[in-house]
Amino acid sequence: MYSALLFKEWLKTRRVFFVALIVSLLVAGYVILTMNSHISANGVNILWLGMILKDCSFVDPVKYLPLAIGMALGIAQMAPEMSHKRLKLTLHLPYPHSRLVSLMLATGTIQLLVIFVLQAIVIAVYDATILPGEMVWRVLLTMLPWYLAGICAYLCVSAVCLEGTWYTRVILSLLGITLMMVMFLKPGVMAAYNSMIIVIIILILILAVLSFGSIARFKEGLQD
Amino acid sequence: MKRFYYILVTLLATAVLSWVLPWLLSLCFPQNIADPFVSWSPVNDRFIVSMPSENGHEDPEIFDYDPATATSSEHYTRDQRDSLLPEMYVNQLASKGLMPDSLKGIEMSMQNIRRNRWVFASFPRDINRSVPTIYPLMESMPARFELEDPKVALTMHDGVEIIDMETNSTDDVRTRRFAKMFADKGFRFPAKEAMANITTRKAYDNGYLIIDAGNNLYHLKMQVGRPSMARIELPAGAKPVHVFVTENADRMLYGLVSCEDGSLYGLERDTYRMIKLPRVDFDPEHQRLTIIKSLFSWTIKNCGDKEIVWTALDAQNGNKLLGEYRYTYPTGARDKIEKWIFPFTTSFTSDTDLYVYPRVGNFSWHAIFLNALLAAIVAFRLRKHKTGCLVANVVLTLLFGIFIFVPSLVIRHQ
Repeated sequence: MYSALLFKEWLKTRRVFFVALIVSLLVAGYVILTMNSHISANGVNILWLGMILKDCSFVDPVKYLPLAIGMALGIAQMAPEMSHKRLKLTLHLPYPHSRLVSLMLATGTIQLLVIFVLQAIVIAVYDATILPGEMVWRVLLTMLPWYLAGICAYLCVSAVCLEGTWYTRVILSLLGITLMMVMFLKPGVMAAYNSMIIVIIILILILAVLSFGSIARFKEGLQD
Repeated sequence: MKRFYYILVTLLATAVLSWVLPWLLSLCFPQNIADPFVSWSPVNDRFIVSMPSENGHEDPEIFDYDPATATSSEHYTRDQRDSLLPEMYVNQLASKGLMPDSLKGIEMSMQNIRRNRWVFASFPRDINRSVPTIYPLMESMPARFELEDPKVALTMHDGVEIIDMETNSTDDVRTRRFAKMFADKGFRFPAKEAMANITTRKAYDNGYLIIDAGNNLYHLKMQVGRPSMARIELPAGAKPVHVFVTENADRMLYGLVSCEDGSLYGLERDTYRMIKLPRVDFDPEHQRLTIIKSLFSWTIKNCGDKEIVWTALDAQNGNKLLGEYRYTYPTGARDKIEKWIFPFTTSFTSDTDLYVYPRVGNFSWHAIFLNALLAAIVAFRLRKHKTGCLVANVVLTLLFGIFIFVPSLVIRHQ
């Protein structure tokens, strides 16, 4: 049953996963090419000065990509469950509901992590060839809240999709949009979110619980 | 699970609203934050104050202030103000042929005024931010006279390391030279703060001012690829916290040093002597400071949370105190409304730093009246519910006010 469920989730998300993976690697390539052309035009010392003195991280193209990927994956995975109320069939499977939801969310989250980690590794490996370790860490810390925002977006979209009533969907959507706004308050400043990382991780745990609530409400017949 | 879900969504919405509602209020009531312009006049030896109009579009109200008698004069026109501040409005006066040849026996030529005038500004946001501990190192004595962009960087963690930017590797020869110099001068690692102005758009390079782990102050320059370092003798009791390098046309100072007790010192270029600026109480992490140095005076503007203090010092007479002018920020419409509506506010950013994290503040007891009214409405709505539920909702509304009242109305507990 476990592997069959995993296969079901994979069938729903594989297209989005591969497209997102390719796009994120292309964006990583674009970041590298931008830095490379900057070095060719001005010299590597000017790139260092830009990063140290002017907070140019060169990873701005990555900024909203994890958010878009998280939302796309959430929709691809959860929207089919709600069309024609297929979720009812899923919930009738001989498998504990809490484990079922955990499995669904874990599948999506792991796929996101794979995409984000691979992209971060590509950028970090290139950066490490031209920058000292401290600067590479600063670049990664700059991108970390964007990746966490992607996971938050995925969990918000999941909770919204699994919710049975349009009224509560709107409330959850507004809540999700506002929370996403917090993640992009000062994206131009390197490592500005260092003190916020732990708050975002707690928020991710809270948002994960929302999907269980949506399922509980759905099971009790709260649906339009 | 359903009850837990309802409580979770309500609390999440409460937290979000405590940020969103004050932000929306600030959008509805934007505050005019233009500060008055205040400068010391060498003509009548008083402060000249240009107070911006409330909407910022009309002419400013201009008057003078005598700190000796704490009195203000009648209002001046702009032309009169220009004549009272000849160093500030030198171009305006020169274009009309009104520039005096000399003042108080000092030549008022354009060259003399420009050589002796500089502006320094420090903002908390420049200090309260995440900065790398890799310091680009400029060559202070370049072969072709013009300054060049740095090609090496310095780190001062467990020891000193010079990194060649081109190869991203340690420059062993220079690292050995610098390490010997640091050891000879008794530098204690790691460096607490190091500051330089890394730009080629300046006439000369003063290098770095560095505070080491033992709160000692050092001056470091790279000259012809070799270190030039000096340990600076601190005045008794002075504990440097922040340093600012200046590269002004008068070449009078290496920079400014702020100390733990709020005192501010100028570091004299010729002697490495630290000159205390009298009556200045400066906390760089929370206050904005602007210094306008001219032929005759230093006008130091120190902006705190509630007021601005201008201090004028006599540049011709050993920085003797000339006077002070204080201005208290007016309370805006937003602040007046906010304290009656919101029991507290949440923000993620601040005017004084470049970090993002949740900050709860602006607690106001005035909001208890609105909270009580909202609690009464909640009590009426939930009058048929269980007592425990009713009491919990009323208490939460009394504490969190409008922030929890709105979600409890909107979010349905089905």
